[in-house]
Amino acid sequence: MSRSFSLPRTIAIVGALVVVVSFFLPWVVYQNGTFSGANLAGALGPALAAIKAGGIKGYDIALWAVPILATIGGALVATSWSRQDRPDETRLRLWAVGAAVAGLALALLFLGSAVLSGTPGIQFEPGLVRTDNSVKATIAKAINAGDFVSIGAGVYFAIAGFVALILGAILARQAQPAPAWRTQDYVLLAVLAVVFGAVYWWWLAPYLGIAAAMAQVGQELLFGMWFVSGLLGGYIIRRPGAAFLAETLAALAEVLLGAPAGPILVVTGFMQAIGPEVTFAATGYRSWGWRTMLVAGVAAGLFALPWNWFRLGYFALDPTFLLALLAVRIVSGALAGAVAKVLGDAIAATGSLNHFAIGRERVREV
Amino acid sequence: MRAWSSALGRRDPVVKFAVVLVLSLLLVLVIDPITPLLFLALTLLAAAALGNVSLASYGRAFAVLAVVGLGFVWSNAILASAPGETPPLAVWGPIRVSEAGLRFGIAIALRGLAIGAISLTFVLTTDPTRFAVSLARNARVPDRIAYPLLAAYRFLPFLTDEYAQIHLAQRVRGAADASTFGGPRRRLRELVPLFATAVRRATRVAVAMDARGFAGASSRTYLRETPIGGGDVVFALVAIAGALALLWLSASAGWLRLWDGRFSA
Amino acid sequence: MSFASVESLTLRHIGRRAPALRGLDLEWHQGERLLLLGPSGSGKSTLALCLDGVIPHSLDAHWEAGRVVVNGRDTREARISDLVRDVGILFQDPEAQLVMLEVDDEIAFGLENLGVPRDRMRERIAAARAATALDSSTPRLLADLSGGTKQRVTLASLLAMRPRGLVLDEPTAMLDPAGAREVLAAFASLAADRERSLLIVEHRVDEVLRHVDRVAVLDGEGHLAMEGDPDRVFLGEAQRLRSLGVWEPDLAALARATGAQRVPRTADEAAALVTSRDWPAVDEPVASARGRPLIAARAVRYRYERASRDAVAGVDIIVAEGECVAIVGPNGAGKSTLGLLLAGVLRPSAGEVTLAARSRVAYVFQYPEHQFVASTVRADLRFGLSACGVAPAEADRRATATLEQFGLARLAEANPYSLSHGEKRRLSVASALVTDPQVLLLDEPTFGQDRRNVDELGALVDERVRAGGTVVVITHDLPFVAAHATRVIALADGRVVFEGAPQELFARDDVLTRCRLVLPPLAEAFRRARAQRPGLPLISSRAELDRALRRSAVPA
Repeated sequence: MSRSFSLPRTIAIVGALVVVVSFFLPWVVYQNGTFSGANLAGALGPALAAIKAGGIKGYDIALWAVPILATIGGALVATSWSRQDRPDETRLRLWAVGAAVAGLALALLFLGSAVLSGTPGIQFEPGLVRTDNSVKATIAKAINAGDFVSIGAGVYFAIAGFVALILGAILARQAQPAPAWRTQDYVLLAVLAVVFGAVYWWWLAPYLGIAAAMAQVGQELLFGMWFVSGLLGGYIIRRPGAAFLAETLAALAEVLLGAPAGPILVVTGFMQAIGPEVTFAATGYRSWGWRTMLVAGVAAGLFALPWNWFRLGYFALDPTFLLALLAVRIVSGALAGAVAKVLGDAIAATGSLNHFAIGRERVREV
Repeated sequence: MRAWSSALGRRDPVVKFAVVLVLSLLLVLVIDPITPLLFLALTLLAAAALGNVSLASYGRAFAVLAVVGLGFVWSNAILASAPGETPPLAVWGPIRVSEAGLRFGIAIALRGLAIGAISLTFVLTTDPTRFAVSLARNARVPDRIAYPLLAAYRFLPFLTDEYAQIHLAQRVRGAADASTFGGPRRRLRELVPLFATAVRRATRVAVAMDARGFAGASSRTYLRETPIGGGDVVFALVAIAGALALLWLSASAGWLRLWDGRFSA
Repeated sequence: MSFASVESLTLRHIGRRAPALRGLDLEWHQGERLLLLGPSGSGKSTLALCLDGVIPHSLDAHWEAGRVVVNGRDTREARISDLVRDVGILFQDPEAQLVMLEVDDEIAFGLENLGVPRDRMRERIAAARAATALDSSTPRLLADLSGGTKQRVTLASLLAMRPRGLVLDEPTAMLDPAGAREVLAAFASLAADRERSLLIVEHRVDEVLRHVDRVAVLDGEGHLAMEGDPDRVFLGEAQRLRSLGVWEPDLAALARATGAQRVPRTADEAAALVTSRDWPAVDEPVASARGRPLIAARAVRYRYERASRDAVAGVDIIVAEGECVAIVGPNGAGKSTLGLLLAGVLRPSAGEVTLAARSRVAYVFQYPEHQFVASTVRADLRFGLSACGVAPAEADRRATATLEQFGLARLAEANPYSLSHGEKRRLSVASALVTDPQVLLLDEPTFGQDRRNVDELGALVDERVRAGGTVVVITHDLPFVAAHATRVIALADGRVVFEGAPQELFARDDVLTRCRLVLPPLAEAFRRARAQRPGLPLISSRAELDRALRRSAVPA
């Protein structure tokens, strides 16, 4: 890839600049003043003391996690990109995108729950600070900021900058000029979608038991199951859009087979597909080992998080519990990646996939 | 299949799908228990009257949703952050049940039921072939995606038979592991032949499709007419107006709670 | 004039070391009806796919040399959309060719792809339906059709496209006899049209021979072994055909036995040949000295979940040591269900199935893939042994011995799924036999197999029975039944409608009709001859014919 000024590179650079600039823009507006990301960072000392004294709250997590992950992500993207001749360039890209995605997901979380102003009777609002209850954010208390008023423009810019950064980084690396999709690729994805849609009914049995017993935690653990179709589709076809199409078609198949969740499931499928697609894109659709698949699985879960946040009412839950859910989700996602790889390899070993992209690599001549 | 020729069944599938999607999205914003119940009732009524659907068909889906819903109710009741001022409804040792949490949990569960009913009504009153063709023609989904989807849909009955056969065959060979880890491992072992056969068939279907000119078909014509007519427009308008009316009704009766507005209790 | 020509074609599939076709030269003439034969794995299907342009445009393969020219176009350079207008292919799997859900939609599929305007479609659909005898009594939904009818619908879909040539690649291989008859009847009406060029790959050679102008035979390496006039090939080169493992018409053997110059094309012609010479008396079917009963089924019924009627509705059967019992009947008669009940895999809803002490039944499923449990051939064999509790060292020894016995030693480390159809069948039988069961139960073992494999299987069955073992075979393959079974049980609608020797079954028209069975060509010929000369024996299989010929060759 040449180092000239291409459009994707430009987008990514602009995105990075926007993120840096937004750090100095107003992030949170309180009763007693407006604070930018930089201000909040400067309040680190007293904040840490207050946290040690008063315990950590949801708002605090989001606030610190966003800039930290974002910085790491940006740094890695920049590094991986500037040194295109390095052999581990792919790996760096992967890490960069993963971190950026995580940061983005958390930022969206933060933003989303802040946008939801108080609903009577429901009490988890990480972005809100109420003076008369125990959910008051530690940092705001420590810097004596008073009541929460609104989210500042800085957060919106940071998020937009991130998106641009990731997109640019991915598009800057062209996959090998891939041959056109053939009918078999589409039919295979459709058949996989239908098989997974049907397996959904089979899977429903343990899910029912666990869902009733363990509610959200059980749900999170089994959540990974839904990612496997997109991961497997991408792993077999190995082309841009394969994971995406596989996951969305599987969701559509589930709906048409009478899934009780409704056509919204297609949107969920859509969301769950972005993570793997981004991961595969970051590797230029060339690296298909364990690391890629595990990261893709985790990415699927993380990227789906903001959507699930609204859909399943997670914003109403206790913050510590939510962190536990997040941890379970990451494990579940990694598990999904592993299952997809194992299954894909097992099917490829039967020789049925010789005509597909995965077959090129794995063909054992008989 | 009687349902396919009913008033609902005659509507264009893509229009129906869009309406269902819109209604579901509307419901996603609702977080009180009463409004979804209203939607559920109206949907079932419409399905029975206009869709020729027997209510028993909803039975299984509702059973599934009920169980999942219970989980939500339980977890939200005890794990939603309880506000300091309201005393908890019940206390069992360290577990505190909050009234607000309970209400929220029930709302989410009922909402799931309502969305499920709407979606199921769509499925029961729609001819899959019409849906696929309409997707291709009206929704501009590329032919190369819509038709394979239909072809794959045909596989479905075989999949279940095939799985039963495989399960039986493997059991016959003595592969019935009764141990706890045997279960998942056995499942995985049974999945491989299922997938391998499905993949092989997929390749054969693709070849057969191409052999009849599917690949590279530049200007395709269609046997079936799938016009979007006045009836479809009327249906869409009536459905959405009905949904909004229900919301308004619920709001004026004081039941409605949405996510992003403040409607007083 | 040539319609298509294959010139020195060498083609290798992905994942295979050996080419499927090697330097193949073949001419397919305009308006000709060409029959293509060869052992399984000889590249017949590959050739069919090349003629349509599917290889190389839709399916990848290593095209190592040569070219294919169809209607003046080189298939590698032309666009597939042009090529499919010239040649249509009917494949063997009735389920894996259909795309839509209703018959008319399916027939229109090709027309839609070609961009035919809607107002023209109706007439083309009607013409195609007429050509394949799909009248108004045919159900509208594809899911309600039988295998044979599904194939006819696909054929109609191809015909609607008005191709100049049609390839039929083993169209009846996955159908029951009744379905095969439907499809072959459609083929017969197609063959009458001299405008179209036809190429058919079909192992039921007797039934298609009357419509065929020329025969081409491929050998196991992908070369063209021989070609020419059917009579010359089948009568003059019989030895060579046999050594290649190619199906040849049973009636050819009859022609040779009676010194005819041409293979009979119709049953009456064959009957005339039969009556033209004398035949030694055939031994009466030995009321087999039956050994002890191994499986006894009494008043057995079985109904599947959510089924409206019994799959097996009151059956009494005894399977004794030292016999080969064949279970025949139409699809849906409950044969497989009965097999599963006899093997003890399913428990009867009513009645009982008792197995003799210390006896075990090994069940071999119709599709070998369903039974594979391991990722190498050797591990698959060993699996059954470990499941029976055999010690590892002993298991290894027996597995290796069985591999040798079944000719699978070379493939010991290969993945079972990558084997050829015949090798998979051998593996599934080997896995069953390695555990040394008392009864071997085979479900449709000759399905889609070539002649060599069927002969091997037959030899295995015979050997086992001679040694005092027991075999139960569920099958549609009447020639196989005639050649190897000692007793036949015919099922219809879950009940036994006949029990006795195969020869007796063939004389019972009522049972044959009820069970939708078709007499093998030899049997049909002899049956008709017997109507004129009642003293004649009823010879129904090649094996019996050969035995009879040997007997008459022995000097008195």
